[in-house]
Amino acid sequence: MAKAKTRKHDQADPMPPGADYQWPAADPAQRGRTRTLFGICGQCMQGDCATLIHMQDGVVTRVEGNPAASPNYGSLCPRGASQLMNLYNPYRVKTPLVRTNPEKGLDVDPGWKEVSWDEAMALVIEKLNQVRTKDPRGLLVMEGFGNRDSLLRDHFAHAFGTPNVVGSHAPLCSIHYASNLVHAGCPEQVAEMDYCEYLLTFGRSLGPNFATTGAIRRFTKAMDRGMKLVVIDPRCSVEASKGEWIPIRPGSDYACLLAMAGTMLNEGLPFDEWFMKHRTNAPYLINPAGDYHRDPLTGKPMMWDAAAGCARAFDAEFADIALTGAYTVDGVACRTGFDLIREEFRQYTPEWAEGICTVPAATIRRIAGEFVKHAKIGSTIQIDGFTFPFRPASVNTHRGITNHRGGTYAELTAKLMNMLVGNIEVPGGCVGDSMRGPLLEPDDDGVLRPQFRAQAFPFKFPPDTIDGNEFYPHKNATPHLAVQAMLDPARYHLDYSIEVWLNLGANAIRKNAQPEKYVEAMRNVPFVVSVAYHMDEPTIMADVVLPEHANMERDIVSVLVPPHQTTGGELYGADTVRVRQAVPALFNTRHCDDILTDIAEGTGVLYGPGGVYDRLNRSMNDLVLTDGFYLGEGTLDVDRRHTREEIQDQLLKTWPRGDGKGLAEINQEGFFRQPRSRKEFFTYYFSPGDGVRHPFYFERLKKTGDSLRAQLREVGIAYPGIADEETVWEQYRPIPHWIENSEIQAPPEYDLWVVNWKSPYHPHDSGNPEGNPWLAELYAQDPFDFAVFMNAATAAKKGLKDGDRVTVESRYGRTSGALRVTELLHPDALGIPGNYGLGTLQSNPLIRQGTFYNSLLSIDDNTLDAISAGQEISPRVRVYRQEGAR
Amino acid sequence: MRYGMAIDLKKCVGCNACTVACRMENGTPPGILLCQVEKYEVGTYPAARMDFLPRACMHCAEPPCLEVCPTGATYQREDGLVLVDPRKCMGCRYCVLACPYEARHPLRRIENYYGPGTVTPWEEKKHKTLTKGTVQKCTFCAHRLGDGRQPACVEVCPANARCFGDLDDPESDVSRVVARQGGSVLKAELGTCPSVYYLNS
Amino acid sequence: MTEIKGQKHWGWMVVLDLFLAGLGAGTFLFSFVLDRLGECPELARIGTLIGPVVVLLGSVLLLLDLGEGGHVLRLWFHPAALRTSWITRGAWLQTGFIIFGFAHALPRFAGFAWLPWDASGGLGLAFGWAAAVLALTVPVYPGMVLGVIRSIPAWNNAALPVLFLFAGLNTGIAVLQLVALGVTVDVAGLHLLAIAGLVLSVLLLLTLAAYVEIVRHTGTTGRASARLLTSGVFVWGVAVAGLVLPIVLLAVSLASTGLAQVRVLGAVSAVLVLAGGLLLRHAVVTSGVRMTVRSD
Ligand code: SF4
Ligand code: SF4
Ligand code: SF4
Repeated sequence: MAKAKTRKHDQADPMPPGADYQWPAADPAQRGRTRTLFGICGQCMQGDCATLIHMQDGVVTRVEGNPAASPNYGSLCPRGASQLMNLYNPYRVKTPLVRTNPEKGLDVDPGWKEVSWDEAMALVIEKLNQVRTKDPRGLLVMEGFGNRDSLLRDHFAHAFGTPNVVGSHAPLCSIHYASNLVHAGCPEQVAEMDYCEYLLTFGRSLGPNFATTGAIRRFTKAMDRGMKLVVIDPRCSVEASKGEWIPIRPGSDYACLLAMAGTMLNEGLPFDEWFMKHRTNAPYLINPAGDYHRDPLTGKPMMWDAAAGCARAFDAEFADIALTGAYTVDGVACRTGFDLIREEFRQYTPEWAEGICTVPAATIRRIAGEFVKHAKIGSTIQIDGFTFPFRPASVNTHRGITNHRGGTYAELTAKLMNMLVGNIEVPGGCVGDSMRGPLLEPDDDGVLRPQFRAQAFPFKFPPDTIDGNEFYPHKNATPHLAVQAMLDPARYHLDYSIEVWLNLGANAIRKNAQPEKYVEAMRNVPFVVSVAYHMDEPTIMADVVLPEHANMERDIVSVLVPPHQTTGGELYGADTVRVRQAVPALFNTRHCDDILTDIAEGTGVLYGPGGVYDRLNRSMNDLVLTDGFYLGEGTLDVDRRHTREEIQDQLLKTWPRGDGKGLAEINQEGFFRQPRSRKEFFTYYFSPGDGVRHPFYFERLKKTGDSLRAQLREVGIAYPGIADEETVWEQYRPIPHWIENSEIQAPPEYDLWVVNWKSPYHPHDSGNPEGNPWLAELYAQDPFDFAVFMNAATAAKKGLKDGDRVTVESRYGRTSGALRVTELLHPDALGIPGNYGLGTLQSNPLIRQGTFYNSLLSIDDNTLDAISAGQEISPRVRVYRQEGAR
Repeated sequence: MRYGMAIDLKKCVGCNACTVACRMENGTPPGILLCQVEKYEVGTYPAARMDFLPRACMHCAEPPCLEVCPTGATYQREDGLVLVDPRKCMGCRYCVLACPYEARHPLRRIENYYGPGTVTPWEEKKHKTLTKGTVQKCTFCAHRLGDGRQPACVEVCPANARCFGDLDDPESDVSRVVARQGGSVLKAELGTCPSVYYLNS
Repeated sequence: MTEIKGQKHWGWMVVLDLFLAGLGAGTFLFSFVLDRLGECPELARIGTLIGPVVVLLGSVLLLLDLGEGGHVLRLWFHPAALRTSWITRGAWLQTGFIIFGFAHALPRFAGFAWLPWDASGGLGLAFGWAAAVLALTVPVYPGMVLGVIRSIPAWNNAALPVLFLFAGLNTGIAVLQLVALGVTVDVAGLHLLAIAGLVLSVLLLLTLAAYVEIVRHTGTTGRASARLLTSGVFVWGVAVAGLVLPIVLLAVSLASTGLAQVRVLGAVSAVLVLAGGLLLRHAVVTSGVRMTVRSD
């Protein structure tokens, strides 16, 4: 049993060379004082763990999980437990800075001049007023996982008059559309770990692999209780190590999913017939054009009543809904959606898929069969007196499968599998991680009204936004589209340009493909302001740097939202809101919302109707809607300035699920927990029976495509950036069908596919984990992290050895690193974990170490998924030894 | 009374939260990991998997480290804890070699995480509690036990993989879980009688 | 294959002490024997002093390396540890040797005539015998120090104390052979040393072979240690240059009666033995591979 090799110390020195920073002496007034603050961790994008922050003599000595509070109940992950080094980081920006050197670059000294806050703010406000007068859309607010605590950011942008609030993080994780469509929940769907007995997961972490506290708790409990776990992944992750690992060639999961769904549809496996007939649009009659056949009188979609031998509008009384068959209705030859899908899937046999994804056909069949069997179709369960369908099996997918051309279809195919067993939003099945409430509402067609990204952005010409809303109406945040448009506005038909880039918590340069493009785009923007924690890539490109508090110095109140990886019992039965009490600021920094309030005031958009406060009054959280904060019209006086404390107090007092307690009370208790019936956790409860139909036949997708095409024709433009428009339209068909991603036909010398995974030390750019020396000491020594990984047999074939310095080259970029040979990887894969590397002249040197995976990726429109605009995350690569290096 | 721990290897996900929590609790400088998680690769593709072994001091009932200590700095308490008195430790590292579990760490230098010239307020404070030239080891967070707290690595563990308590009390959680699941100890053949049991190993 | 690494907590200082302790004790012991036999009295006189001086030097080095501040004093003030710790025992043995050794040797040196006893009579002789007995333990105890460490199979080994004893005595002879270059000696005395050296070198060679074999056969960790032990430096340095060659040289010297020739051959052999002895200690200390924590 070989101990995995640990890295030699000299390959990555976890100690940055002395920054030689002398810390100011602790406040003498604090001497002898011990206090404990309530905290909320900010070391991952979820940032949901409740903490206790212990201080002695003005120094944070210890941070621990709050034992009483969900979701972590006293535990923390390694990042959460390292957060005090994020506070005590000498590489932080400590005072406002203004650039003196006009030349900009990651490795160019900006010649910072330290200025007062007044000077810095005056400069920023002046520029913003100029752009606002010219065209407010010229302000780009780039946001990201570095700061998820701002209440006012979006309201400021919208009050200012710009639609351009762009997230820097999303194109490598385009996971929203299918869930927003099928579950009407946002952000996505997850496995329900209290009841699930069979979990089939593709391209995702259930928590352990990148260590999120609550998800690990749920995971270990489920495994302990005997849940069967099947992980289909190019890499044997932590999860896969605890369950059954089925290796798959990177980027080919879609073929495997098609074949599994094909097996379920066409090889005689049972399916949930009641669900299909009464809770999906599968029986809807489809005309030869692929649209619903509509009742000529009412315009409603129709189904065939087999007992009566006629078609009726979907909401009529049916004696027996026909799920299959061809029927001529009103002289139109129609077929049921179910039949069409089944027919399409006939070609997707396990044998066909095996050739693409390398998973043996027999395994595909076995897993499909096990999945159906474990779903216990027909069984029910009582929760708090309500009878739910009980479907303890779920297939869940994530960025590993969605981030390819055709990735949205892959995820939709997984939805088909889930719908076939009827597990949507019921115990044991697949549930959304959005607000828990009456989300499942039918639209006029009786089909679930989609939410969030599944609602198409309206088309406008010339486009209003720089990030491609018009061309990718179902996209999530798309900095890569924004950057293309900034570099070539004409190609994207923009009639204005970005004049000010306001950066807040974002790192578009490092967190995306082709960093050089972002650097160039930032260089072209006349004025860049960075609200900054440290001298990261966007900050060294800035004209003015406004230093902000570290996580632990930022007070907030926050609603606990359902998490990403999985969900489960500890989250049911209550709504929770928490407080983060600020650790006294160490430097001349400010709370981001105070900075924004001043900017809003200076630009005249803070007060009055349509101002920041007015918008704050009226706003609701996208994800949790009425489970979240909602001030309500008139709560904050929109004509006077409010302190953060006042706003927080009001948020708490008006919280729709609260009981009127405010900041004073929460400062005593740390959190408010409002009990709630466990049955309400499953949105099925709010629309049971045949109250709503989930889309099985994706008619809405087709509709978006049809209307987009028509609108492009109407304004007479081609689809920007795309060589062959058919490659877009083929992804707007209502039935998933095989799409080759951009890599399948790559030249054969690119013989491997790169895969990336989040690591316990470095999942997101939240709380600067890669620059945290406590974590660096661990990732530098971790045998499963911080290297370039290759299957042992593959390495032997190539004559490569453990420890070789290798160059990795895709068709889009290159990177390098030390090779680690492993048995835990598919032979066709090359693994580069985390997001190490790049950094700037003035950043913490730790950030410059390691292999920079993102540099292998592309932002070329032709490689994107046409629906989500997600980037290809497994480009084909070739690997060779760097001569003279070992 | 004999304090002991059970670590469930099926539950452990190798996240190293325990490693970091231990550091925060005990103020150890770079290079000194009183608690650490060894990671292994087991099997060959495709029947391969990761394996984790979190470990610290086993608080052996028959501790070889104590036997060799030439100055009496290492001692064993009534409650089974094996501790080092820094006022007596001469730093000879004999115990470091004698411990079969690599649980002892000579503190020859006290470095700082952000480099030699940068002493963070946390380090400034915590490093005062360390004595250079002595040997450091896991204490089962002896300073917390009096307050009814568990060791930091136990409380932080998101997988709930660790269970701590009195092995002499058959009713304690740790005794029960060991009795029920049949824990094993590392290197039993050496006769050290560790107080740390591993479940599902 | 993963890289094999020996323990890294004890290094050169410990090696030097092991070397010097053995060498010093050996020097004293043979000097005392020569003295008792009445051979080469000048060599014997000097040798009895060199012994404790060298051991003292070694101890100082060791304490500098091992001890932090005044804490080392506890070695002598915590007798309870004598029950279990070989370092404490060693410290007492070594200290005893140094004290008795000096007590025996010093009266014969200018400046110490005031001491109320003399080397060859009554009390002084008793000191000499005491030191001689302790001198037999001084090279052995490091073998025990290392030997009780069960997690290092290469050390946890009955052959080690014997190995260290022979090696210590052998280097003691070597020291005397070198000193012999500068003092009045006779061929008979040198031959006596040569015979002792020859016998010891042969014994050492056999013990060494046995030791390596034992190590090789104690599990995977032992095998790893054996691999480190049998590196080229070890085989050529310790066994061939440090033992086989001296055996040949000493045998040749025994066949010779020319004082100069015997002296030179003895001295060349001595240099080789000393280098080999140092290398041997280094090899043993650095090839101490620890068992992995999980399994072997
Ligand atoms: S999972 Fe870790 S980083 Fe995320 S909030 Fe919890 S403790 Fe913090
Ligand atoms: S904190 Fe728990 S799960 Fe994480 S490595 Fe330590 S023992 Fe394992
Ligand atoms: S594990 Fe090591 S340090 Fe701890 S008691 Fe056992 S021998 Fe001593």
